[in-house]
Amino acid sequence: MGAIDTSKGSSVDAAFLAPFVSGVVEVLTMQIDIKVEKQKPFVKTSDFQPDIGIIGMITLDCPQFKGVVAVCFPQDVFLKLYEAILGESHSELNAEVQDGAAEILNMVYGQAKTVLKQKGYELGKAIPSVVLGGTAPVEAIEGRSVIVVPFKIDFGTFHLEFIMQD
Amino acid sequence: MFDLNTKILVVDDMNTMRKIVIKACREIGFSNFVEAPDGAIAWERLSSSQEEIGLVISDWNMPNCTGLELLKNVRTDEKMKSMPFILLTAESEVVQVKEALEAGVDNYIVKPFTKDILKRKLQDTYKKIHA
Repeated sequence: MGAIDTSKGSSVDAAFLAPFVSGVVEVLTMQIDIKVEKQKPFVKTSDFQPDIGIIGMITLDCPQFKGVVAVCFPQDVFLKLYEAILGESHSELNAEVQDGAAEILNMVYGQAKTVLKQKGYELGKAIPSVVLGGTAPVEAIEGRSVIVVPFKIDFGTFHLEFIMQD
Repeated sequence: MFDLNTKILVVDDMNTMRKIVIKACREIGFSNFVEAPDGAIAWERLSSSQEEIGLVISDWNMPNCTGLELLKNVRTDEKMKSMPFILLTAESEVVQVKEALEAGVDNYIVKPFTKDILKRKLQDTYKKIHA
C-alpha cells in the first residue's frame, strides 16, 4: 500500500490509515453485530457538507501522521447506533449520550494502535474529545488536507476524517 | 461462575462504557452494580463498609487514579487484597498486560467485547481464583 496524495500537496501512508478504517468495522461489528460497509475514500472538498450532529476526535502527533482523526455522525444515525448498543432511546444529543462518540473512537484507536504497533509504528496515548454539530470537526481546518472515509450501516451513513496538519 | 448476586463495581471515566459493561453483565444475569468514574472514587466505594463489593471491573486509562493504580491499592490492602479484579483495556499490548499481571490482576478484557467474551472471562476468572 502506498501514499495517498492530496490536492494540497500533503501525503499520508495508506498503511497507517487502514487500521483505523478496519477498526471502525471491527468495533461496530463486535459491539452490535451490524453490517458495516466501507465506501470509497476521497479527499474532502468544499462540496462535501454533510449534516453532522456529533464528532469524536483525537489528535495524533507521530512521524507518520500529524493531525486529527475524527469520527463524524449525523445526529439520527448516532442516536440509532447508541440505542442499538445500549438499548436506550434518546431524542437528542444530551450529555448522557455524548461520550459515546468518544468511546467508539477510543476503541477504534485501540484496535488501530495494536495493529500499527505490530507493523512498527509507535503511537502514544490519545484522549478522545467530543464536538457537537457543524459540518467540520474543527473550525480551523480551512486549507488543511482531509481524507474522508464514509461508512454505510442500516441506520444511514457516517464517516471518518483524517485531517492532516500541513 | 460468580454468584449472580455478586455486587460488581464498574469503573470507567466514560459513562457509555460503564453502561456497556453493566448491560452485558445484566444479560449474563447479574443485577447488583456500583459505578465509579475514576479509580479514586472507586477506592472510596471499596473502602466504604456499606458496600459489599465482590468483583471489580475497571478501565485502565482514567484520570485521577488509573485502573492499574486502583489495582495496586487493592492488592496492598489487607482486607481487599484478594478482591477479584478484571481490567478493561483498549489496547492488547503485551507490555501492558505483563505489568497488570505483575500487579496481580485476575484477568483482562480488550475493548470492544461481546457479552459472550465477558461471560467467558468471568468464568475463567472464577476458576482461576478458586483453583
